[in-house]
Amino acid sequence: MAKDKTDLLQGTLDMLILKALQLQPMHGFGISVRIRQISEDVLRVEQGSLYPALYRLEEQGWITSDWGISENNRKAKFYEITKLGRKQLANETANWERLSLAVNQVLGAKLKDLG
Amino acid sequence: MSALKGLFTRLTRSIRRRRFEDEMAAEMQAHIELETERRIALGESPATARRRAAAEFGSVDARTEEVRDARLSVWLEQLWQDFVFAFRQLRKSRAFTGVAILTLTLGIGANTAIFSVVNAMLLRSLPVPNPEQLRILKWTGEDVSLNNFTGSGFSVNGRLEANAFPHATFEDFRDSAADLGDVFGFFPVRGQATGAGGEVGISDVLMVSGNYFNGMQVSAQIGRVFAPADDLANAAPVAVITHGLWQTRYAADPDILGATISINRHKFSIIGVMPVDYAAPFPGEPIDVYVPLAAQPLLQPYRALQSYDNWWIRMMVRLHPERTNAQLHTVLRSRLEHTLDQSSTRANKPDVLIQDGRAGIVPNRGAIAPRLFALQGIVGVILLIACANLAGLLLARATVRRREFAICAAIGAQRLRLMRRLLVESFLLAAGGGAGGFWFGALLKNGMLRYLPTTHPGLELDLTTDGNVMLFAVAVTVATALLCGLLPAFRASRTDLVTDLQTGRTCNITRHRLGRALVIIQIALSVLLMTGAGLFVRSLDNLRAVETGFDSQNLLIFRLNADQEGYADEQRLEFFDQAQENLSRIPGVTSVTASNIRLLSGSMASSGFHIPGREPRPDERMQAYTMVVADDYFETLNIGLQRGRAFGPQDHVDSEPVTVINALLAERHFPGQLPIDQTLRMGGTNYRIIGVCGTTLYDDVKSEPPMTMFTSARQNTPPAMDFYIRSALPATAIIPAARKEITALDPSIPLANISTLEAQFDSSIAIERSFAMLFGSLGGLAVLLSCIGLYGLMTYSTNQRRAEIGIRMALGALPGEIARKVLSESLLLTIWGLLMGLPLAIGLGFMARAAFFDVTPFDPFALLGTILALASASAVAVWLPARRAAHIDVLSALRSE
Repeated sequence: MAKDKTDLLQGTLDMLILKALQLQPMHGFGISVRIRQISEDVLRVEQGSLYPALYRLEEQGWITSDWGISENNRKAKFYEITKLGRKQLANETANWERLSLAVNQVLGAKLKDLG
Repeated sequence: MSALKGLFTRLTRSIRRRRFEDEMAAEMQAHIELETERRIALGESPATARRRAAAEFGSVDARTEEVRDARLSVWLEQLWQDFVFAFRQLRKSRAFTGVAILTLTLGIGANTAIFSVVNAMLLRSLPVPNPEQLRILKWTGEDVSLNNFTGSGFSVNGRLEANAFPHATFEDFRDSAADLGDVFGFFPVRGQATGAGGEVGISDVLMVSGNYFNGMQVSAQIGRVFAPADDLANAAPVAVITHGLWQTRYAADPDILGATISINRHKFSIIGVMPVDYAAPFPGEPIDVYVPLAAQPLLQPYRALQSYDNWWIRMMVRLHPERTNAQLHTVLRSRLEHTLDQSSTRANKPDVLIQDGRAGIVPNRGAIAPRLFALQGIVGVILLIACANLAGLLLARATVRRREFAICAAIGAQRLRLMRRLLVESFLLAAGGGAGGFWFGALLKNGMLRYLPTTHPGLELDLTTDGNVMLFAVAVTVATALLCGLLPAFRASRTDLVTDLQTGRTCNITRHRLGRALVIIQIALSVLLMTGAGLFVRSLDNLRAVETGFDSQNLLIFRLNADQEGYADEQRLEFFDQAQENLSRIPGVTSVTASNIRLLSGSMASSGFHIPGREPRPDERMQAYTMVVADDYFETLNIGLQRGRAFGPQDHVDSEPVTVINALLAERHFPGQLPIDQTLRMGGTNYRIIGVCGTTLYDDVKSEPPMTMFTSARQNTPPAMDFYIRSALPATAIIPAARKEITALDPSIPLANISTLEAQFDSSIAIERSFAMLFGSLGGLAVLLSCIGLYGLMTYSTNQRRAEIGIRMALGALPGEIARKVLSESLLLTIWGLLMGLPLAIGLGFMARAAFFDVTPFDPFALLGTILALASASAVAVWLPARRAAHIDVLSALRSE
């Protein structure tokens, strides 16, 4: 299990959570499942570290929370992305794309040079 | 509303952090269970699934901790950002910051200074270990008839509250409450002649019981304090002196032990020196020498220690920590009844009062406390004005910064965050003002002490800053920050994004209204203080113009106490006679006399009398003030003798008792008759009336001149007399010569309470004078602050309307018209302030009318003076903005829009 787990950079987890919440409000467990699904099990959120991140995001005003009933009739806390959170996600996504593009170019160039 | 709601949830959340963390734990627990279910669904056995889910999640406790840290660090980080931002903002607008901090410095400084005095007099604990264990004992009763009582007694709801007990009662209390606490007794003897280190001086002596220092739990700095054995009838006379006396009279001689100090010619051997900070039990009225109560035969021979019929001892208790007031009360109450059974003093429903003694005994506390709290109220008003002022400035500033706020909001700042940022700003300002005020207050408090209406000469308050004062200053600062910051912050956070971003400076009507309201409040509060100042100044004028009936110019007064030196009656008369003669030989002295009670000093003696052979009319008050005088009294004081003669050598102990009455007494009791040679009977003696003199004031400038009867010192010599010396020279120039004459006569009798009759007059109107000064200076400060507020508002609003003014001028308005418009606008604010303030001032004036002398709250001088002062001050304040408005450059004003 540990072998295919990629460490998440600080801040990346925040982005993933916002992304996961983009479509619909979810509870914490749902978020961890969704992240695993989207990343096709490559990214595995260390489950405990999800919660500090959720509270941090809430404190920043990017998500809000409310108690509700989960699909299997449990009391659960649901998180919802705010307008501010969507804006933040858009910014971060743009940044990430720029960064990963740059990194890819560098790596690609290197490969080409080597090749 | 959502900002408030957010604030509310945050508050409740922090209050119920426990619950919040419980919820969090429940949430994580639910997560683990869902994961377990998922694993079971994938085919793992329930036990394995549960174990793996838990392992994968990690420790719930550790996560909870992490969340807590995360929240706190986010909060702190934002707070820090806000501080940095606010600091930068404040540094950018230095003028604003300077004015704001100065305003708060004045307001907080005045409050801290007055509080230092309140603290020192009423709140601070005595400098002894565990002061909270100390109690003061008093007794109360209904229909009390006191006999031989020396102390203070005042009526509370029909019950007399008295502070003095017989010495026998003290011993009884001490012994019967021995397992509840230490009961200790004392009695102050002020103004005693003490011989120390070769010179004679005046000292305050405290006679204390042998267990006094033990009860206070203090020990000596040098030598020892009293032990119970020192307070036995045949013990050698010993004394403990204070650090102050040791320093001034013995030059801090380290070999002081065994030296003698003489008190009223009796020698006491010094056995100890108290530490420098010991000042008990009367805060502000220090004691110089302590002697045991056993010294009573030497210092207070007429108070028999064993008697139940001489009420004089004050008592305090140090209660054992495990005992209660109720236990003490039960014991002492039954002992008090025992005392009353033995005593000629009578009281119905007697009871013992046990009061908190941690702050010591403040004589006259009942009169002083309300005045001090009134003062604190007055400076509180100043601080309110300062807050309104700063709130106005912040509001104006917030309006200018609307664009900035709108941008913050547009990029997604929460309203709460915006509010907090502004509040942090006002906290920074308040902190600056608080620090400044702390410094200013420390500067102010010592200088101010002599002008306070609650203090008197000789009062030595220790005004050092202690925990109480610090706490007060911090609390006032925080309250100030909230008071002046909350409203503008709340207002500013309500930004209307679209319009604010577009224009950046829309004139928000309500915001202006709020700014105006704040200025009006400031003016109204200033009116309150100014009117108060006016009323007190008028009272003072009236008091100064009071007809005294005597001539108080160039009259030196001092007191000679022959009794202390143990003179017998005839010797006393001889001494006083000789003193009078020798003093009148001093070059420049025109006349000398003496009386047993000093004029205008607040002391008086009165006596009932009747007229033999005549029943009093039903409305006739058979009571008059009495005074014993030496020869030449009426001549020296320039009191006209209307009929008959004054006292002279023909009156003596063996001749017929005679009296001189004043004209008021003659009119009231001998209407239409010749009073001369009629008889007045007083205290079992018949006095023949030999003269009628002019009616004069007696004890107090504020009271009507009373009916007075004078008797001669030749016939009944008092133990001490106040001498009046009239001279052509300034009164005080006579002092050295007078001292020389008295020393030549008896070197052990000092000149006590040296003063002049004019000073005596001044001190009897001291309260009015100090209130007039306080109200005057604080009123001036208030007006200054409101003018700053008015100036700020008008500057800001004319800046806001530059474009409008530009258009008006482009359309042909003259500079004069523009200026007049600004002036009239500010005049309107002043008028509103006056309209609100004057009725309030008049109403409060009516409530406090007892404090004024011959002045009604409608006094035209006070009211017109206030109106004039505020109108002219506000005109000065808006002159600059008006001028600036009138000289706006039309082109640039129009272009800037």
